[in-house]
Amino acid sequence: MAEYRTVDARGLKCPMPIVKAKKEIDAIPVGEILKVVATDPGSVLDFQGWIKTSTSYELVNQEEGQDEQGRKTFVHLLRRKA
Amino acid sequence: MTELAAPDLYQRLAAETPPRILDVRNAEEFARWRVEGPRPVDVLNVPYFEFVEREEASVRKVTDWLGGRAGDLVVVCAEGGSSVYVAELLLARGLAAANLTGGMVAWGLGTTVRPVSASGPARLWQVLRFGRGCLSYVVARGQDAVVVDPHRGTDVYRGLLDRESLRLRGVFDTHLHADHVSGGPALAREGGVAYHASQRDFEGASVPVEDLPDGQPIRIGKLDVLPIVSLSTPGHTPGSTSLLVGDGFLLTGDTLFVDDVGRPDLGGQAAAWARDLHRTLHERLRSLRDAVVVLPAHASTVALAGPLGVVAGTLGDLRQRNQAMRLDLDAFVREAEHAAGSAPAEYARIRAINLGRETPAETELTELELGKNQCALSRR
Repeated sequence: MAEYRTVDARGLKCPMPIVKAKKEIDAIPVGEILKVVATDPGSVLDFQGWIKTSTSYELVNQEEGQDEQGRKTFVHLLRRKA
Repeated sequence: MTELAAPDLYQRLAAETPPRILDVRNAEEFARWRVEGPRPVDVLNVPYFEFVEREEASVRKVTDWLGGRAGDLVVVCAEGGSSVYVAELLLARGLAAANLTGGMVAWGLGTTVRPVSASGPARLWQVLRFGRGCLSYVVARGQDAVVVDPHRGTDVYRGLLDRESLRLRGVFDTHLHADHVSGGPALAREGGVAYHASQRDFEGASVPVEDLPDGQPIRIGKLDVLPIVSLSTPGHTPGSTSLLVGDGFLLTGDTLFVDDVGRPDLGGQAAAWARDLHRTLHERLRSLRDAVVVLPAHASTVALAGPLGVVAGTLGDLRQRNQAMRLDLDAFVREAEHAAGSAPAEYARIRAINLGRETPAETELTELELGKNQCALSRR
């Protein structure tokens, strides 16, 4: 499995997952993927909404998971397009 | 930055020049549920992530909307974090804005307390949970008091009892609630008093329930400490019970609202329960005078609150103006059948919680109760 550049946003409430993701995605090369791991369920709709505000990135995937502490996670994969 | 608690914001929305609201949640959450006040609220939705992505254009959206008009601005989000972020951005650009502390989660739990009756056979207060349109009551005579239809934020009742030096003698639920988690069992347990509700709704419950028999004066132990008579008023649920206080106030639960009636379709037997409810409204309540004041458990909109902030109506007015109450039996049953199937998915889980069968964590309770109640027949 490819190891993506990852933002650990676990335990963070909005707006921090998106503030952090924005900072990172602007720093990675075009074409690469950024993985954001969040625990805030509100991040699912918020990432969808955020991605629509920009033509520079796209949302590749969103899925639920669980971290090693048993917390429910929401994993967002973003690709920088431009 | 100015922090504004939910009850203070609600208070200010009743003022002559209410503050404007900038709601920074995503469009879906905004469409589902938003801040409402006794007067129309001027509100703009610009999600916080638009400020993250293009700060300048987003701030301009806000200043264009304000158009130099006077008045305060309050920023609102889901839990009170993103709204601080946006309010700080605005402040850095010279635009002062207050933050709704705790966001919509706090808004959904916020309450106001209004006296309904200060004298007569009983004193009565109405507690309005304004974000969800839920109403509950404290009824007192002398130093004895009971609480009716409390929601899970039980501090407001304990605070009122303390302030008025009242002794809690019992807790009542007019029916098994499906739209919100009851505070009744917890309040009764903590106060060492009985929790009263109809056995017909609470059969198989894991919480101890004292039955509410039809047509009986309420007794606490051997005392009839309060002038309250229970009236079986089935239809919204089979065990729905109204409480007649003195002969002047009728606490109707979800049987009868000021501008609507409770939904009889939530139990999967829309036609049968609708017939029960129609009989309740037109036969059971027939002997009650027009002057009796109806105090319901829900308001479809807080705009129904009168000048004193109380949601109430006389039976006479309701008999004239409440459209659902004026439907004949056939039309009433058709309306209920039409409503059937549109109940929110979380209602089954909320019922299980209110029966004491499940005890979820606080975060899930918040999630289950997001949005306004959908208990009224024609406004679902």
